[in-house]
Amino acid sequence: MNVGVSKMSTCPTDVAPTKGRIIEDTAIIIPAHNEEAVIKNVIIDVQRLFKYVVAVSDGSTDATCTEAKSAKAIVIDHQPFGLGQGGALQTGIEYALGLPVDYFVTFDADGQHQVEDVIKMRDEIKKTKVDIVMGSRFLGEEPRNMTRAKRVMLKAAVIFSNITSGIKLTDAHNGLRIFNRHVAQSINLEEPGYQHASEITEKIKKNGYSYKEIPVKIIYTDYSKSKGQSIFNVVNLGTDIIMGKIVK
Amino acid sequence: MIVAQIVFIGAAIGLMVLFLLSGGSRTSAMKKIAAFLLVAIAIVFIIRPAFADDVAQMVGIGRGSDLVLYGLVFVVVLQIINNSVAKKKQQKREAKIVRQVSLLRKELEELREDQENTN
Repeated sequence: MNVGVSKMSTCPTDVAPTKGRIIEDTAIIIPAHNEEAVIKNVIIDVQRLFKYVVAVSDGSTDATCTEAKSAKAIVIDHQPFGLGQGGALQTGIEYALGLPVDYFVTFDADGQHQVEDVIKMRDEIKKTKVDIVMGSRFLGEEPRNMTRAKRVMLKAAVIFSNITSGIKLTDAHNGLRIFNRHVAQSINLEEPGYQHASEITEKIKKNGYSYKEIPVKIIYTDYSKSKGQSIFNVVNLGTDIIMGKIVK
Repeated sequence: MIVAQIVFIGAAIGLMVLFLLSGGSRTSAMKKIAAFLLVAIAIVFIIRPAFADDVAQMVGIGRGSDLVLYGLVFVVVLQIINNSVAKKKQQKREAKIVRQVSLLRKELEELREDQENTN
């Protein structure tokens, strides 16, 4: 299996490429649906610091796969149809379990997440030995360019998630997480779409994973805002979670 | 009358919970029994419409037509939930298939690449 590693980033960030060792004990899993515009740069940015990047194209109808392959990521393509972000993550996790890694990171494809935050989270999980470390945009610096409607929606989602799962988090729907092999082997995500965020929270409680939240930076661009959850879809998400509780 | 209403509402909810929790052949058998009972009750009400009124007054609903309506609502809601359960199970099966196919294709791709690199 050939995995190319780009040492120089070509993406327009203001962070200089890090010199030094490339991290080989962590797999970065990037679920992507129709992200041809940004996926290559996102992967190249991650590859500055991490050897194993697993991109899962989830039923994409554009050039997401081609772009991801051109960045020399490990690319898995869900065809003939996608399974949603949760399904793509589970596929990425199952593949990554075959790699010689100790940690698994879920990382969004739209460029919102910062690779440097993954380093911080990796340091945290190694230091505290918890099973899962999750990023929170509400613990540290205020997210840049977040609309008021989005802020209200996310806060409401957090309250709802905390009530339904019994786990107290400040940012349950943050896609940036790192977990160990035990979690990767047992988490078994089954919910479609964005419900996986709530499913992960429920699995934390059900499987007794130890967890921690640390502040991370989320940068909203016009592109990432266009790809985010609509407020109307939040209604679908909420009812699906309630139905999921009634109908197991 | 209120007590009778509470008892029947409780029984309806209890039946629904039992229906949802049971699986496999038990659920299938329960559905068949329920369908048979519904048809039998419908036949009785058609033959003796006054009987529907008697039952309705016994449970505190009032009119036989209201009793039939509430029964219909109950059945429709149960069917919606049943369809949701079936759809969810179907989605999980589909997801497993798509995932296995995708991972196998990836494995094949890697084997081909290894072969090309060796040659």
